[in-house]
Amino acid sequence: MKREDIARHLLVTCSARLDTDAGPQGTAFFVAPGFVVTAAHVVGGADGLPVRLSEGQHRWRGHVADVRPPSAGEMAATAPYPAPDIALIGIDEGPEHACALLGKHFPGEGVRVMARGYTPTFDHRSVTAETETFRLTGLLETPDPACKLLKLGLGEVTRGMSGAPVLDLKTGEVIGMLRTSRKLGSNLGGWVVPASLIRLLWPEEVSLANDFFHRKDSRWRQAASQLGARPSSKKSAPAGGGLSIGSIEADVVSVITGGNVDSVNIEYGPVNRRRPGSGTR
Amino acid sequence: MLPTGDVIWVRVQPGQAVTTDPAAGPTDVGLGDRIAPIAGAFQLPEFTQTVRGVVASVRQALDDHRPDSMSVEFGIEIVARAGALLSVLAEVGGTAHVKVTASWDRRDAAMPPPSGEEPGPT
Repeated sequence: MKREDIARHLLVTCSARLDTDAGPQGTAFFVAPGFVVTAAHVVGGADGLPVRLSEGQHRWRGHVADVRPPSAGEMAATAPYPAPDIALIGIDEGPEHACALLGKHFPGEGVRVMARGYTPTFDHRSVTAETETFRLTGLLETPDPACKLLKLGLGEVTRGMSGAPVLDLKTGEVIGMLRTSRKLGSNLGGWVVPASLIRLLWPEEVSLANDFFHRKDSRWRQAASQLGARPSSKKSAPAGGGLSIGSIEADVVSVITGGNVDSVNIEYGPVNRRRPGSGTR
Repeated sequence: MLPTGDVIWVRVQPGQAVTTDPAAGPTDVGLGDRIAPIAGAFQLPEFTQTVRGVVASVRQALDDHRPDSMSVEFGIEIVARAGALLSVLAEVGGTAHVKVTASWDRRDAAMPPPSGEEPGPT
């Protein structure tokens, strides 16, 4: 299996289309059991907003549990949402799921990455998934000194990709979340909220839970090991995770072709159900 | 369909605010700024009032002529900022353009007059 195929399959296991009552809004991805992230502008900066997520045959319901920053207020429609532009969504109902392996450090410039988002590219009416590869070209400082965004180039960021996971094609780690196109209709790429910042924003709900998930379930790390280099973490796989490379591939593929997301997360408990208003700020 | 049950056909055309401008700079790439406002607009009281107001005015103007069918074309601008709908306007730059097409199938002319009024030799 090619590196890009493995990466694509990993992205499928963690990403989902996000809808509200007003229709499709963009993309989101699972960062911890019971939690996904998306861009704040995708949910209009609205804390508590109910959302629906879907991937293949799977459906989830949830609500916006935290938004950073909460609302853009009165701003020009064409201006980028203030940094960092990210929302945490708590899952209220739905099947178990896989979680993206979140990176902990800024990746090196020049790294090849792949994103997967739900876009209306095909016919501008239906919303379908598409992937795109990029190169990491640099960092962008924002008015918030604590928030630096990653810059992507050599790929097209299209509408609907807000909230899409961006995966390092060498380590298999998700390096961040897409939020903005640098120029629509071009291959100038876009801006990414770094995974390290996502961890910093929600140290318990996301960072610790993400680490715990991947200590319990080694399949993402093992699939990522086929990409050419091991992820930066040196945590060893748990007992029972000693699958051969071939069976790991087959497992990842079965997750996609069979749509059985549960098979990725067989060791993890039920979805955490949080109520609107129980934000994590 | 309006809350009243009236069916209105809407042809959605991209406006300036959502058209891909090759010269534009960084743009957030959620779908809400081009799909949600259009879908949500139909729930707005302002949208309903605007549509009904225009249609009622045109019908009143043609009431004496009793057309068999009538179509009305007019533009509505939906303004969205930060994912929220702020207003619905039926005019741009102080002028509104309404195109009215009325038709009569002339059945009255072809039908015989009601009994008692039938013309005949006198």
